[in-house]
Amino acid sequence: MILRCIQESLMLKTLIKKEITAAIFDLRFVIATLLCIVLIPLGMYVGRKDYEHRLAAYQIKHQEYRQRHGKGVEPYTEAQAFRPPSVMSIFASGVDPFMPDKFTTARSGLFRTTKESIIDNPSSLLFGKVDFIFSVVFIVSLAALIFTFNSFSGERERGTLRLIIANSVPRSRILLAKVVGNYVALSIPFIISILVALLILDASPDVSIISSSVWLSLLVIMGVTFLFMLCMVSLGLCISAFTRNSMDSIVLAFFVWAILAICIPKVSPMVADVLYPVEGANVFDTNKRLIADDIDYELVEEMEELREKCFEEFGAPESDMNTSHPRTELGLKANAMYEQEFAPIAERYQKRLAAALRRLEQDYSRRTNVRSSIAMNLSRISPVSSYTYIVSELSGTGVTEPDNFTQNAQRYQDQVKQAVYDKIVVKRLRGGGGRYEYPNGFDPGDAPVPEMTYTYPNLAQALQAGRLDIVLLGLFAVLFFALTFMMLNKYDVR
Amino acid sequence: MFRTLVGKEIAETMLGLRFAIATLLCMVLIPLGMYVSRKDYEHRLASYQGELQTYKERFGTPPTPLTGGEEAQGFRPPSVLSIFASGLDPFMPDKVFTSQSGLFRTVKESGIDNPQSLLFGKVDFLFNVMFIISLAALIFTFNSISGEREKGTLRLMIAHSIPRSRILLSKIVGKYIVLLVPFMISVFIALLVLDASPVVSIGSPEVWPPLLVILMVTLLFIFSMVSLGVCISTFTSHSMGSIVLLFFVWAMFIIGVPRMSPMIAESIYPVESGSVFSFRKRMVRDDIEKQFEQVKKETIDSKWDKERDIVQEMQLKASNELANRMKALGREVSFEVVKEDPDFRKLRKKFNQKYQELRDKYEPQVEHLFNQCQRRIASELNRIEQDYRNRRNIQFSIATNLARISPVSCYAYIVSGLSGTGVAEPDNFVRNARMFQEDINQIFYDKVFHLFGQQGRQRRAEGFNVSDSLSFPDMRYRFLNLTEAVQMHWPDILLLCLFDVLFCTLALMRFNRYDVR
Repeated sequence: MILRCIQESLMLKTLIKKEITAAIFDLRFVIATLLCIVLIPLGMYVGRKDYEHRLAAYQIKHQEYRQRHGKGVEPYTEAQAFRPPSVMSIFASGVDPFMPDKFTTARSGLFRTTKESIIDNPSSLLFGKVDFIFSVVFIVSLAALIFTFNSFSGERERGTLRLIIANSVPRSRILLAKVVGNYVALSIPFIISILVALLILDASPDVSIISSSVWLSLLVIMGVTFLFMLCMVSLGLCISAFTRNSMDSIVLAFFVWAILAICIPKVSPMVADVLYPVEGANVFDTNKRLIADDIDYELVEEMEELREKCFEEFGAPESDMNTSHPRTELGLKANAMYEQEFAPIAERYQKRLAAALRRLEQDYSRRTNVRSSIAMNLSRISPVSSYTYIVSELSGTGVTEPDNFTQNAQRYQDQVKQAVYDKIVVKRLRGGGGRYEYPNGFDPGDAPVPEMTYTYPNLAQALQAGRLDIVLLGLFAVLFFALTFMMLNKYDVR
Repeated sequence: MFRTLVGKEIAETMLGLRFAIATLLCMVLIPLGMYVSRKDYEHRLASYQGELQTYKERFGTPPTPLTGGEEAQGFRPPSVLSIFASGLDPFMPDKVFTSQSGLFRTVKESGIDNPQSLLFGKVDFLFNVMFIISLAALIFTFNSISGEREKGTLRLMIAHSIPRSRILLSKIVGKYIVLLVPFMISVFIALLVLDASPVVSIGSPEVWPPLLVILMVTLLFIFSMVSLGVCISTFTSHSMGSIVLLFFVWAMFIIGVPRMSPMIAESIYPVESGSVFSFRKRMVRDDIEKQFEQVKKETIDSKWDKERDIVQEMQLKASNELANRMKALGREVSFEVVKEDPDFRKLRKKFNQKYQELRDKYEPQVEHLFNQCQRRIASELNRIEQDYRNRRNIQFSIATNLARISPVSCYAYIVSGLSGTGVAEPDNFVRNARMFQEDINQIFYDKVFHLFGQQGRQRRAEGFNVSDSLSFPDMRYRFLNLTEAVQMHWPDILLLCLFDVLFCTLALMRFNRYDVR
């Protein structure tokens, strides 16, 4: 019994060794190695440079803003804050190039987000970046398929599959040996290029790999990447088990690759958009502003009515109605009455405005969430999208980042509201003007503008958001493996 | 004979699995991509129009009195042809703020609508041709020679009295025609989809000529890919080798060269980023202003203050004398009396006149100095901007020329250039923004003068009344027209033709010496 076990394990070892040598001495290995070693470190170098640029730009902007406007507020101050780049965006730029990098708070509660956009390098934007995730999704996955697409069909054609089967090795063992062998052969150039890339990354003055925010995420990213590679290797084997000659295998492999790596991820948001159309954010912003305007308009009307009523009641002269400092006694009395009666009305409108905006926003975010979950779940048919979702999520540039940005902006808006906007009372006048008052010894010249602390989702949150994708990746690996096993058991080796 | 050969190629390819798969991919992706891009364009157009309208209603006429610092806003309309190649469009700023200093600002109002689609990128026409069609062309052809050798049919063909060049040519033409069938059908459907849009009409003069050129260039590009595939197959003697070579060539041409050349250019010739540069510009500006403030303090203010002090002393003395005289006359001297007394009034008037004289003497000097300062800032900023632009252009041309090793990047440059979303578009945007700034300068900023006075800056307007309302004109955004775009990209078109010829020649050369056994 023990002897058989040892014999089997020895046999498996021999098989794996054979696979590895067969893969390594092939032309494909040379070319895959070449591509990996060139693309991954170069991509990392450029990603690092790009990150340093973005970080420098952020620091300059932030410092300058704090110096100029960090202390002392004026009635019309609109505090601004900037989004720092995420360190991990070196690995996956994701939605980062599209993200707004600045937000401006507003007294009305409608903060604005803008992107100071200077296009530095048009060619690079036109063709896209070669970050780590791109290299893995396009180069490494294609390499995995090319390594394995004819492992059964090719051996059948050459007749060597018959010889292997003729020995007393179960087919499952052969399959296992092929998966492990090709996986190891693919991992060698990948690991080497990753090591070089990490060395390059660590040479940067702004990035240190061992800092706690980096190495944990990095470890998880690497783990997920190895899982993804396993997926792709078993997919290639699956393809080869489905076909009987190499030509069919390669056509099927390219087809499957094009579908999984390009079509499904890119088409599913489009399909979701067609299935469940939601208006653009610009349109929504306009709607919001229109509603805010409508409510404001009603408020102004009611205010004028009230003022007229108050002044009529006291019989104050017309001339006092348009100023906040009435000259006559009657005017003063009317003004006092007006101010007393106006305060609750203003508050009521404020509440109404906030409620209307909240309702509108909730509705909009509900609809965009529905659409985005349709898009995400559709795209999860492909392991490539699952992989992209996790890695970009861990890099702080994933699909939840726009929401995270909005949350940060909202938090900062609340902070500024507490510290500044609530301290300044606006007395509105007829005809649109206003007067500002600073109650309770609030010194506008010395008041600090709160500083923004932008938080990216931490590892636990990112894993929480991406756990489904990790499970799916594992499932895909198992599924492809099981499918291959099924097909191989029925495979006609002649 | 040639026709028979071509017919054989066509029939063989059409009945293969690859044709079915390529047709399927084309038919699904190209029309779907067009539909989605069209929708996207409609959204962008609507939001552009909405924004323009809101702006005109709210800020088109700034409230009076004008301060001279009002900012006019201009908006960039989306280009119709961006449906075909979104190119740089998602990164372009869409708004420009003019400013009184002449340094306009460009801003992108960015709300992220659809993060998934941004994460994975769009499937526009350019992408489909670059990735799907080129891959299909290579897959159609990669074993056209080596595969026939393996099957042994190449020997039979060579045994006939047909020159090898004819065989090769028939292969290229046959595969090309077969590939064009699904492509043409799907483009036709896509154009129908496009024409169904209420805001786009293909027959309009700004759409159809560039569209025609784009299609022509696409045909040229597909031909270069087909001949590249045949070329690959002549370099190897069996299909497996062809596949590996194909993988390498495709990865290099489609991914490696276009994406890496900007990176390589950046490492060879580094240039600081735009935000750092604009920060440096602001620093230079502040420095010069500070310098001039210093000069003003040393040369003008000191003299002015000295003379004013003298006058003040004289005034004090004179009024003291006057007060003493009044006291001597037995009159009470108090604030009210001084205020009303005719003698004091005369004295004050006299000294006010002296102050005025001083002001008249020094204010022109201050204004002169201020103008000088402005001129120097302008020339200095111009100089460093010119320098920066030169360095940028060098880096840019390194990147562009490096990328031209691959026909794919040539193709992408042409199509995006014709679509108004190419690499020249950021410059074009800046040009438009500058023109807009100049328009506003002419009608507004140039007519407002600023003076340095004792109370800081003062404002004086000429030619119009600050309390009259003024409405700013719209920005007239001009995309590069067809002639300009073609003029800019003729090297790329020429290169594509050259690539066609090169790959064909290379294939022919290799095939003439090909071992058919």
